[in-house]
Amino acid sequence: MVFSSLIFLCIFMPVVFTVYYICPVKLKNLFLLSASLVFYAWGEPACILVMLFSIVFNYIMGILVSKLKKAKIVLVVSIIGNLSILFFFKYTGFFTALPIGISFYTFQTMSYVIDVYWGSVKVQKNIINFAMYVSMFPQLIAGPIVRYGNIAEQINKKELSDKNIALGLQKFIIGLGKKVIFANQAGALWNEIYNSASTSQSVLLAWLGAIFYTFQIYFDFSGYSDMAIGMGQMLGFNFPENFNYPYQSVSITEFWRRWHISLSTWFKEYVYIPLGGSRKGLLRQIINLFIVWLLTGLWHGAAWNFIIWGIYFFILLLLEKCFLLKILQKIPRLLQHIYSLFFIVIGWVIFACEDFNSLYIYIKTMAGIQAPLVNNYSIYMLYTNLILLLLMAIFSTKFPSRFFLKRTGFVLESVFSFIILILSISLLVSGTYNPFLYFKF
Amino acid sequence: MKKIYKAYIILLFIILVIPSVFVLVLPQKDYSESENRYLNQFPKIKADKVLSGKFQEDVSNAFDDQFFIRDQMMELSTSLKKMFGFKDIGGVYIADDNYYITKVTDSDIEQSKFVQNLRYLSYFVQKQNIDTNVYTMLVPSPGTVLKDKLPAFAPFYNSDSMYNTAITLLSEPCFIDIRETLKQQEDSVFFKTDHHWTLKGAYAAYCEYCKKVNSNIKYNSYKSFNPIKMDGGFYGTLYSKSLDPKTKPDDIYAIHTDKTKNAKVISDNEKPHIGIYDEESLVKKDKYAYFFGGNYGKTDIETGSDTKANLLVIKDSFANSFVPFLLEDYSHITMIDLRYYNKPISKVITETKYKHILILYEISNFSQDKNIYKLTK
Repeated sequence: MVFSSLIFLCIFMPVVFTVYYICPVKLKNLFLLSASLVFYAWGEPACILVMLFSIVFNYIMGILVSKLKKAKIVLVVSIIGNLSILFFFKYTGFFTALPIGISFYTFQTMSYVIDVYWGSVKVQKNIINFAMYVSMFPQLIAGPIVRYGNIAEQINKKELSDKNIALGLQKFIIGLGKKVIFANQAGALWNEIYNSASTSQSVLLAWLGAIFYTFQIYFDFSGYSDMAIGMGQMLGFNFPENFNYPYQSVSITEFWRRWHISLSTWFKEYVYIPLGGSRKGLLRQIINLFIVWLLTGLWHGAAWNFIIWGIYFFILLLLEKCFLLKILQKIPRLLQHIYSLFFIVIGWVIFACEDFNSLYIYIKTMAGIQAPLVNNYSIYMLYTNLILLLLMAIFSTKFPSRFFLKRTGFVLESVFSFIILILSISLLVSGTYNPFLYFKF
Repeated sequence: MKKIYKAYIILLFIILVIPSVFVLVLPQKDYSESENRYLNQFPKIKADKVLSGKFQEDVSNAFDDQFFIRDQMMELSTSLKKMFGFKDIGGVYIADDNYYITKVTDSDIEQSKFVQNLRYLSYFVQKQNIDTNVYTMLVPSPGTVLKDKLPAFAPFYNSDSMYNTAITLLSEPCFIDIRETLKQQEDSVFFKTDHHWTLKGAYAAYCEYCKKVNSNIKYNSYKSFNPIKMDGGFYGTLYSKSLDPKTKPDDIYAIHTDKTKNAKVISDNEKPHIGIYDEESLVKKDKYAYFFGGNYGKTDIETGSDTKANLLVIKDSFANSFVPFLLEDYSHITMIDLRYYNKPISKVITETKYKHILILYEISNFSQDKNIYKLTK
């Protein structure tokens, strides 16, 4: 089931939350687990076995790691086990249907066993509680990657105040609006331009397409994260923030501190630092960085363009580390933004084009090689979508929340969220474009 | 403040739940008039379908289709898109003079598919007897004829080269080019809310047909066919894509002669029908189905005319309002819609001796139609 569907909004959500609030404290985790399994089984009944296996496996590994003296062997077994499951389903292509959310929950369970080994979290002995943590529906399919330590306390003690629920609900609706009002429209426009690349092209059109995709992926992904965080709050859990206005960045280094924070943090804590990080000399640091970005690329999908995409950012980050950041700091801030956005947009083009040939053609058109600067199509796309583009640009910065929403107080925010909800439902009803991006992750 | 939080939570939950309550309480709807399609129904629960996920998918689809105030929500989303400044909604341009025009871009037309279809057609033409004349009429897309009415800079596919290819491949004498005459008409040749041509458009094409086919066929004036306005509230298929409440409906006209009234029509396996019009369609949404009651695989018309000439029309729905003009000129007219007809065409041609065969399609439909190969059977 996806959040941006009528059946989720109008049946699943009201029913599950109402029962959750009514049900006795002791049964809340069990109920949440059951609801999450229904949620997961709604779309992929067979894949639920993979998740159940992963839950049982990691539950046992957690206990063994905490009990046995030779914990390191157990740790290695658990890491190999988790990676094998992920690798088998994601990269071998034996199964046409990728178990949805597998990249997210595998990373969660893996970090759990590692944390238990490190002693930074206590082992969870109750399998229902553990299964609930892994399968919790708000973050199950598209993150954020919630580490066990983030919510360990809340498993037994949840703060379910009206204020938290109301604010969580608002956050959910903002996320829904990002997804349905912005991402879906931008996605449709990107697809239209991408599909017309062979018959109609110009520099402006290619850039517009790339910009639409840039907005689509941000509003889609951060919208899902907001919905997850909002629902987490409504259930009494504090999930970490996942996006912090990444398109406001003045460097690529900063971009990656603001984009999909839970993933970059994960790689930093469980790969980069254990490998030695920056403590073992420059050469080791570069190799460590390379490994992290290769894996980041791979994590996003089993295709070559994701690896190129990861290495692309590795190179940019390395250049920035070596000298580029120092130069950037000296130039006007506007140029820093332009620099960052330019490389972010190119990055998304690499991400979006899954075969080399279309990537080559697309980049060539963007560069103006054998393509006119403008054509009628591009002018049409620009002026008919100008308002949407401006709104998306404004809403991908801090501006609206800082200067409007936060100052108006709860009542006005509520009215705003009410309008967003009705508009989102109307767009969902109109059956317009509602693709789901994360089946590949 | 605490009360405000509580009120907000309860209010929003009620908003979310209301549609579900209505869906549960109200009987299921089979058909959506405004969308012109059958709606998904809630399935019966079956273990194997639950395990495969099919049941869940069906429930989701049914819930979407059975949603409460669906049409109003569609209207709201259209208003939002218009506020954004979108000039095309659901694949339809919002053009000048209240026209809706189907958006067809170069990337929608697969040229190789078009050429392939022309080859099937050309093969069919060559296969016919010498005393049977085959004519092809490819109706230009509304966006081609009404180019000036499209939004500024709006992309629309270029059909010029496609016409040239068709004329070359089929050889000129067999090809009836109606592009110019449609452009020159003063009245609307296409409906504003529907993708079909109006009676005026069909008449203009009829005149070109007569000029081409030779002197045996009289070329009557529009008035002589006794055109009558049948309905002023026609909201066509293009309107259905956006349900914009500000849309003005079209008038639908039909000609009325002895022949239209008394012709005997047999459509597929249905009972013979006297008169070519389907009165019931006028009280329904799709009023274009007034002509012959919509599309059938094979329609046979005994016109009651004594010309002893027979005509075979292989066509899409554009022919339905065009063929009435020809009732005087042929004693028997057969219409074949390849989308719904699966028997060999060669058999139809040997069973009845046709003097003329007309291939009549809108060009973008023809170019992408997957059934043209049936001509070779």
